[in-house]
Amino acid sequence: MSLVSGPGRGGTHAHDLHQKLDLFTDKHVTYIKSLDTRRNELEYWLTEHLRLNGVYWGLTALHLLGHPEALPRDETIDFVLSCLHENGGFGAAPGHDPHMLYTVSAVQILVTLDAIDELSTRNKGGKEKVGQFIASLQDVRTGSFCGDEWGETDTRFLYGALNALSLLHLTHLIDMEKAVSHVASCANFDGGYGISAGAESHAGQIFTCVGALAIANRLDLVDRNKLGIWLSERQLPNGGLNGRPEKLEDVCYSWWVASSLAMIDRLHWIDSEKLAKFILTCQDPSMGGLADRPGDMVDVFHTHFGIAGLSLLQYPGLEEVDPVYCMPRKVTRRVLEHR
Amino acid sequence: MASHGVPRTSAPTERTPQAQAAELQKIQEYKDLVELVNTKIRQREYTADTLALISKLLKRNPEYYSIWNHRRLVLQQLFSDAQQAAQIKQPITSSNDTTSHPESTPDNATTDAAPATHPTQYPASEQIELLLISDLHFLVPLLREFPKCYWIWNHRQWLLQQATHLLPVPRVRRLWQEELGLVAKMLSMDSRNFHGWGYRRRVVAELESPELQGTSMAEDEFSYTTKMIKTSLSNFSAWHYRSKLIPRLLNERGASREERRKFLDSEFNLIQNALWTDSADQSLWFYHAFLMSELSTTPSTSSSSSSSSPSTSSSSAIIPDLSPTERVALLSRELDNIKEMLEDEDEDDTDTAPAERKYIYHALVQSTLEKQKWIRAVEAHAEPKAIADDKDEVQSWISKLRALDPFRMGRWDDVARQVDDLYA
Repeated sequence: MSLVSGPGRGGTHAHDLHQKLDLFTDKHVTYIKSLDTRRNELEYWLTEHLRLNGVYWGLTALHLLGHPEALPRDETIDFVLSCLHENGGFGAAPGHDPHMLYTVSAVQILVTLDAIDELSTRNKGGKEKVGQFIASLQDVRTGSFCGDEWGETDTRFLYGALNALSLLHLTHLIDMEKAVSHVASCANFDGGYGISAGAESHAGQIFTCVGALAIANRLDLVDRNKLGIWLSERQLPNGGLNGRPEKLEDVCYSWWVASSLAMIDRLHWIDSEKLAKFILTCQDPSMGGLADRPGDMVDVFHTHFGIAGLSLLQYPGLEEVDPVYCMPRKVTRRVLEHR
Repeated sequence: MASHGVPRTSAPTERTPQAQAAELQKIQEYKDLVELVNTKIRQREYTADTLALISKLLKRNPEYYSIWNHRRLVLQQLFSDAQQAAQIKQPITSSNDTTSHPESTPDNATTDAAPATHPTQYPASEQIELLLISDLHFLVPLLREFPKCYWIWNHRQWLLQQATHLLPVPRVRRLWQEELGLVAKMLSMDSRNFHGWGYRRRVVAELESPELQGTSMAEDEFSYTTKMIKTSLSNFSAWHYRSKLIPRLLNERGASREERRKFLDSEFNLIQNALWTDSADQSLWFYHAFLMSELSTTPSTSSSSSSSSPSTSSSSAIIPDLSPTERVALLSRELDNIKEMLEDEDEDDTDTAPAERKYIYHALVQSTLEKQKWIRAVEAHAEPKAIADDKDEVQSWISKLRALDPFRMGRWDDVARQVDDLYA
C-alpha cells in the first residue's frame, strides 16, 4: 500500500455546493487498489515508513465502503507478517524497526481479516509474543507507554497499546489502573487531553485519551460537557472541523473530533449534514481518494479518515464504524463481546 | 502525513518521459543510499563515516524513523569509543560505563554515583560534548524545515538526555539552557507549534530538576506566556500554558488568600481587556471559562465520579476556599461585565459578526447557571420571583444562540433541558 499523494486532487470538480454531492465509492475502491502499483514514484519510497499504517487505512476504508475483498487477503497477511520482528513488534515495512504504531496497525489488519491465528501457525510465540512486546513498553512508574525501546512517550502509544491488547484479549499483561491514571493526568481545564501531562489539548490526542478510557471502561473520568463544548467548537463555517482553536479545517479531524464526540454521546452537538458535505467536497470524483481540504492532493490517510467520518455520520451505503477502534463495527463485534 | 495541508502540483501521470526517467534515477539513488546505510548497520559499522551517510539520508527523509535509531546506535558507539580511549590513557578505579544503560529507563540513577567534581566520573566528556553539540547543530536546519516531525524533536531530547548521563552538571545545564533560546526561536516562527511548546516544558522541567541543581522557573515561564499573549491574543497554546503555571506559581509565592483574590482579579482584568479587543476569538473565551470555573468548584454536571480520579482539572486552583456567598458575588460581577459587552454590540448592526454575540450569550448562560447553583447553596429557599425572572432571561439567550449558531442546535437543546431541570 503506497502513501503517495495524488494523483487526484480533492474538490477540483465539485465546486458548486448547490449541486448534489455523492460519495464516489467505486472511484475510491479503484484508487485504493491502485496504490501499491506506484513504485515508479519517488514518494512511494519516501513514505515506506508508513506502509503498514497505509495498509490499515486502505483496508479499513475498503471494508467501510462495502468492498472487503478488494485487497488480496493472503498477500496482505504475508506482507503484515513480513514486518514482524523476533521480539513480537512490527516495523512499518520489512527491515524497518519494531514500533508501537505499526504493531497496532498489524493487529488491526489481522483482526479485520480474521487472521490472528496466522500469528501462531506461522511464527513462534503467536499473539502472546506480540502482546508481550506491547506490554514491555509500559513505563511501570507512570503507566504511560513508549513507542519503542528508545523511550519516546505519547498518549498515542498508550491508546494503541490498549486498542491492540484488547483486540488480542491480552489486557491483563499491563497495569490498566496506572494507564488510566496517566490519561487522567493529561486532562486540561478545557476538558481536553494532550500528548502528555501539561500539554495543550489537541483533537487527535483527545481521540486517543477518550478512546483509551473507553477501552478501559472509565469514561466516567471524562468531563463530558466541558469536552463536548471544546470539541463542538472545532466546527468551522464551511462545515469542516479543525484540531485546535484558530486552526484550519482538515478532513482527518472529521474522525478525531467526531469519534470523540460520539464516545461521549455528544455527536449531535455539531452539524452532521454540514460536516458530511465538507468531507464530500474533499473527494476527487474522477480519480478517487480524499484530500485534507478541497484543492489539495488526495492520499490514503485522508481517504480513510474521511470515509470513517462519513460512516460515523451514518452516511447511506457505508458499513458502520466503531468510534473507539476505528474499525468496522462488524469486526469489533465479532472479536469483542460487549461491542 | 504525505500531503497534509500542502497543495501539490504536477501529478506524476502528467509527466514527460524525460521527467519520469529523472524520477526513476532519483528513486535508484535514494534506494542505494538506504541500502548502503542499512548494510553498514547490519554489519555493525558504527563509525563516523556511517554517521555521515545517515545524516545524508535523514536530510533526504527525516520521517524514516529506523534511521534515527541507527543514528543513536552509532552515537552510542562513538561515545563508548571515546570513553575507552580516555580510560586507556588514564586508567580509573571505578567502573562507570554509562552507555550500557537501557534507553527505556533513561532518567535516573546514572549520574549520582559519585560527586560531580570527580575527574574520572565523566571520561572523555570533552569529546562526547563535541559529538553531542555537533548532532544538535545537525538538527537545527532540519527542525526549521520540518518543524512538525516528531522524530527530530525526539532525537534532540535523546541527545540532551545523553548529556545528562555523560557530562558534568554545569555543562549539561548550559546545553539545556541553550535549548530555551532555540525553542523561543521556533515559537516565534510558529507560535502554535505544539511540538515547540511541549519541548519548552520538557526543557524547563529539566532545568528545574534537582539533578541539574535547578530551581523553579514558574515566574519566568509565566512572564513568557504574558509576552506571547501580548504578541497575539489568540495564542491558545500560551493561554493553556498559563492555566498550568498558575497553581504552581501561587503556591511557590506562598500567596495569601488576599493575594490570591487580587491575582484572580488581575487575570479577569487581562481577559476582559482582551475580549473587548476581539470578542470573536474563542481562545479568549476558553480562558475566560477557565477563570469562571474557578468560581464554581462543582465541575460539570455530567462528571459524576471524579472523586476517584487523579485528574488535574481541579477547578479551585487559584482560591481553594471561596465561600458560596463570595462565589455568588464574583459570578454576579462577571455577569455584569459580560452583559456590558453585549450592550456594546448593536444587535441590529449586521456588521457585527454572529460569532462575537454567540460567545457572549453562551458565557451569560453558563455563568448564570453556575450562579444559580450557588444561590441555591446559599439560601435553600431562594425567592421564587427572582429565579423566574432569571429563567426567562436565560431562555431568551438560548433562543439567541439557536438563531446565531444553528450548527450546534443539539447543544442548545441540551442546555435548554439543563435550564429546565435547574429551574424545575
